[in-house]
Amino acid sequence: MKRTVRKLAARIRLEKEFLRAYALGALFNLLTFPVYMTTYYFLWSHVYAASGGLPMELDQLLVYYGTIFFVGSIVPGRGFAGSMARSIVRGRINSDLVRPMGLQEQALHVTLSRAVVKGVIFLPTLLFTVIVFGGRGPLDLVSFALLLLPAFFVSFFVYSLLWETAFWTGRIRGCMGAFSFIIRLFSGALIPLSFFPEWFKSVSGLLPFEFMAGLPARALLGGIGFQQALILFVVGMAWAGALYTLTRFMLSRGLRRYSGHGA
Amino acid sequence: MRAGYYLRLLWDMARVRLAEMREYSADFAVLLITVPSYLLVNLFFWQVIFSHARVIAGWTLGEVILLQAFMNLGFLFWNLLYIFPEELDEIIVSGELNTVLSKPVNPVIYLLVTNIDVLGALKNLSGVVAYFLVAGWLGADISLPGLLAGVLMVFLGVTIASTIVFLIQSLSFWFGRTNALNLFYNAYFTVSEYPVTIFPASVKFVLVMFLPVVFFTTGPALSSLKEFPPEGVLGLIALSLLVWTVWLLSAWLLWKAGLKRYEAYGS
Repeated sequence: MKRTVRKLAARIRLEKEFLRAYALGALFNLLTFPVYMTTYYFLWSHVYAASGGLPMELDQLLVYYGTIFFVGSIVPGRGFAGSMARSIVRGRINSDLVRPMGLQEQALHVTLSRAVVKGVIFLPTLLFTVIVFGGRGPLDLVSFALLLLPAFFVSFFVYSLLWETAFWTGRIRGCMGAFSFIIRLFSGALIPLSFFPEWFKSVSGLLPFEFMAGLPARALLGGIGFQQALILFVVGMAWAGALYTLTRFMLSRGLRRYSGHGA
Repeated sequence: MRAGYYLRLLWDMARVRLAEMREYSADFAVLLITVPSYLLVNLFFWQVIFSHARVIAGWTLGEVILLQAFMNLGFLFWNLLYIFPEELDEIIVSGELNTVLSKPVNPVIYLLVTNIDVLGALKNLSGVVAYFLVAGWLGADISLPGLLAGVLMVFLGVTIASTIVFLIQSLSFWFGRTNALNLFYNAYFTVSEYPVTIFPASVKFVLVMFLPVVFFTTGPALSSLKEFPPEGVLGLIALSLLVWTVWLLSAWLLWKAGLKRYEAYGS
C-alpha cells in the first residue's frame, strides 16, 4: 500500500512537470469553460422561458453543467482512449509491454496521477460554479467527493474497452465519436437524466454510464444524500470491478493477437 | 496546366486514402454501424430538449435539425479541403516544410490537396443526407435556391474558419508549436451546434467576426428556409466575403513574413 502511494506521488510529480511543459494547453482547456457555460446558459434560458415545470431550476442546472465540466476534465475520456489506440497502431506499446508493470496498470497510474493534477488545475471552474450559481440550496460536497472515485474508475474501464478494440480494428476513429456521444448521453453529461422520458431513465439505470458524470453532479446538488451516496459508491465500484474483468479478458485476447503479428 | 496538376494530385491522394480505408476495413465497418446510431442519438438529444419547449429562440426542432445538416456539410468541406491548416505547426516545426518548399509548386495548395480525410468526409456525407431528410420530414420549410445559397455560405464559412486556423498556425514560425491555441479555437466550434440567435448581440458579434459560426450553420439554415428574405441571404454572403477578405489578407501577410523568417534561418 505504502509502495503504491509512493509510486503515485512520484507519478504526480512527473505529471506536474509534464503539465508545466504543456501549461499553455491546460490554460486553453480551462478557457473553454466560459464558452461551455455561456452556451448552456443561453440555450437553457430560452427553454426555461418557453416552458414551465422542468425537473430542476435554471441555476441548479448550471451547477450541474459546471460540475459535469469539472468531472469530465479529470476523468479519462476520448483523449485517453485515442492516445492508447494510437500507441497500439503505431507499435509504441512494445516498450510498455516489456516493463514489469502491466499495460493497463501503467495506463491507470498515468491517468490517476493526471486526474489529481488536473483536479487542482480545474478546481477554479467548480468553485466558480458553486459560488455563482450554487447559492440557493445546500450543496453536498462529501457525497460528491465520494462519487468521484467510481466516476474515475468506471470512465477508465469504459474507455479502456474502447481503446482495446484497436487490437482488432487497427484504428478506433470509426467508433470513437459515436460511442463517446452515446456514453455522454447515457451518463447525463449532455442533459440531466431527469429531463428524459421514463423509459430512457429505466434503461440508463441498468447501465454504468451515469456513474461517469451525472451521479457526482446530482450528488453535489444534494439530490442523493450521504447514505444513498455510500450505496451508490459500492455499486459504482462493483461496476468498475466487473468492467475491469471484462477489460482484462479483452486485453489478454488483444495482446495475444498483437504478439501474433510479431510485434 | 498547374490546376490540372493539383487536381491529379488531389485525385491520387483520395485514392491513397481509400486504400487506407480498405486497410482498416474493420474500423470502416464499425463506422458504418456507428454513424446511424450517432445520428439517431443526436436526434433524440434534440427531441428531448424540444419536448420541454416547442420553439427555442424562434427555432423549431426541424429547423435545428436542418442546422445540424449544414454543420455536417461544413465538416465535410473541412475534411476534404482544409485538414492541413490544423497540422501546419507540426509541418513547420518538424521541418517537413523544407520538403514542400523544395517542390516547384505553391506550398499552400500542395499541402491543401495532399491532406484530405475521405473517411471523415464520408461520415459527414451520411450525416448531411440523413439530417436533410429528417429536417424535411419534421416540417422545415426548405426552398431550393435558399438551400443552394446555404451550401455556398457553408463553404465560405468553412473557408473563413480554415483561414483563421492557418493564421493561428502560421504563428509557429515564431513560437514553435501552436497546437494548444488551435485546440482552444476548435473548442469554440462546439457553439456551431446551436443556433446563434440564442445569444445576445455582443456574443453574436464575436460569432460573426472571429468565429464564423454564423456562416457555418445558423446563416445557411436560415437562408434555406422559405420565410427568410432573399436580400438577407445576399447580405449574409456579402458579409462572409468581407470577413474572409480581412482574414485572408492578414493570414497571407503573416505566412509571407513567416516564410521569410524560416528561409532566413537557412532551413
